[in-house]
Amino acid sequence: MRRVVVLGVTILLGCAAYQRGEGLDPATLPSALRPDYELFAQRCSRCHSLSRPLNTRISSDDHWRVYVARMRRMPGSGISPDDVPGLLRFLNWYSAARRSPDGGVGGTR
Amino acid sequence: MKSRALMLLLCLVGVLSPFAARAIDLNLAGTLQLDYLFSPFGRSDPRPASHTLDGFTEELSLKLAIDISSHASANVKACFGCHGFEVGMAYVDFRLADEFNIRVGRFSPTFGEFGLRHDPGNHRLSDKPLPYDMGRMLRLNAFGDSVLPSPYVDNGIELSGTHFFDRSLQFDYAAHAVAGLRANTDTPYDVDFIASRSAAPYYIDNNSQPSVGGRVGLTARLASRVDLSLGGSAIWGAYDTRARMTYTVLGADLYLRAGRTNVRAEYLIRRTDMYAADQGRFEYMLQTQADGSLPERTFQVRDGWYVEVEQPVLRNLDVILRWDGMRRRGNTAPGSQLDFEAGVSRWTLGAQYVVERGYRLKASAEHYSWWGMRNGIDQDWAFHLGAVATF
Repeated sequence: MRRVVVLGVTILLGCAAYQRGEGLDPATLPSALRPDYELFAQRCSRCHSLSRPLNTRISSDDHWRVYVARMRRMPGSGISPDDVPGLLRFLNWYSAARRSPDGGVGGTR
Repeated sequence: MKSRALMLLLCLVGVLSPFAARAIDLNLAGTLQLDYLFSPFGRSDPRPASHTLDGFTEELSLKLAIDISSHASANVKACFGCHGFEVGMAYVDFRLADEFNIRVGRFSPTFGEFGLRHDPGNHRLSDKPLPYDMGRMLRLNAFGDSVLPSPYVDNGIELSGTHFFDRSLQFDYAAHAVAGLRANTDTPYDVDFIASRSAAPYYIDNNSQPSVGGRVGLTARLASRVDLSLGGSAIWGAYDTRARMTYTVLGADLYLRAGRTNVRAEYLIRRTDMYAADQGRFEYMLQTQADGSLPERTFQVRDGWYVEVEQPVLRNLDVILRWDGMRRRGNTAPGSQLDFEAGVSRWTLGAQYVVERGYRLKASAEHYSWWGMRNGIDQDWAFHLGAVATF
């Protein structure tokens, strides 16, 4: 039993030491976008991991608009029309940040 | 005649032109999961033949989503798993309004909550809850199939829609007519889910009678980080080649999110007719009719449930606790390993560790408790270790 506890604690410490989550680290995002990111993280993780939208190669604002509209219509999405501007604000910024030469803002790469 | 045809063509172009657009964007997504299932046996309890699909199992899917216009989109998904290559999606959505969408093609008819998350990249444990299991539960061949193996994919049409009454209340509905579940015989015991899903000989109906069903759901935002969803689903259809044996599936689902904690629960029940005009086909005596003859059909009932809690403990580590189960009640074939009433209850404790965005490790331990098994087995252990990539 003692060995199991030691093994569990070791694994937990190992995980804690290397924390690369599915999402972004809010602390590294522009402060104006943090509420939008929180909204995105809350709404878009009900049915799938955040890596789905964060790893797509969508680059145009128009495509994000259609993509978010399609997700909003999913049963029980909980994404109301009022949520859309905030989600698009974050996603458009995210796409641009990924494409920028210095890249990697907020772990976008 | 030619001028009439030209006029008709111009009218058609005029009617459709507001929606006409070239494919504006494509999005390719995929999932790959490799899972190792280990179920220990001792020398006194050797592994029975066809125990389960243990060892390594790989599931792969590739999906192409095409937004043709703001009104129309198409999805095509190819899957490779335990049954080889299959078409998991090939449909077109045409949306007149948020409240009215028409889907035609090959798709998963809307049922319950888990259907949206059936892809291994979208659920946190390696395997599915027992009522939706498709081949990963232990003693599968002894117990038989689950209530509604997921993904349930079929050909047909679905009307659906969603409406927000305000920011905090969403109503959904979906109603479908599809080919329906199948059994390639006119004297079936149960639905044959392999025949239902198989492309052999083709993705065609076996009895020309559509199956109908649907779901209604309500999602409420109780606080800024608290959501509650409730839903009810139903499916009805005939599954034998003569369209005389029917099945009915009912379901209720609940989803609660509070902060980063997810609680999911569902209950499903399926009543399935069995061809019964021959006592020799059954282990237990059939009840005769008033004139002493045997009825044409009897029925079996399978129900199942799960309650699952997903709790992030670190930014890259989730812990999952699940209780699920399934029961079967009804006559059996001679020599069956099941009593008239049999069931299983399972506890699962698992973890998901994010190595890198889009790449995760999954581990879980499962304890099965059986009842109504004639071989005397009353419990089993199983362990999963897997990796999943979403891209």
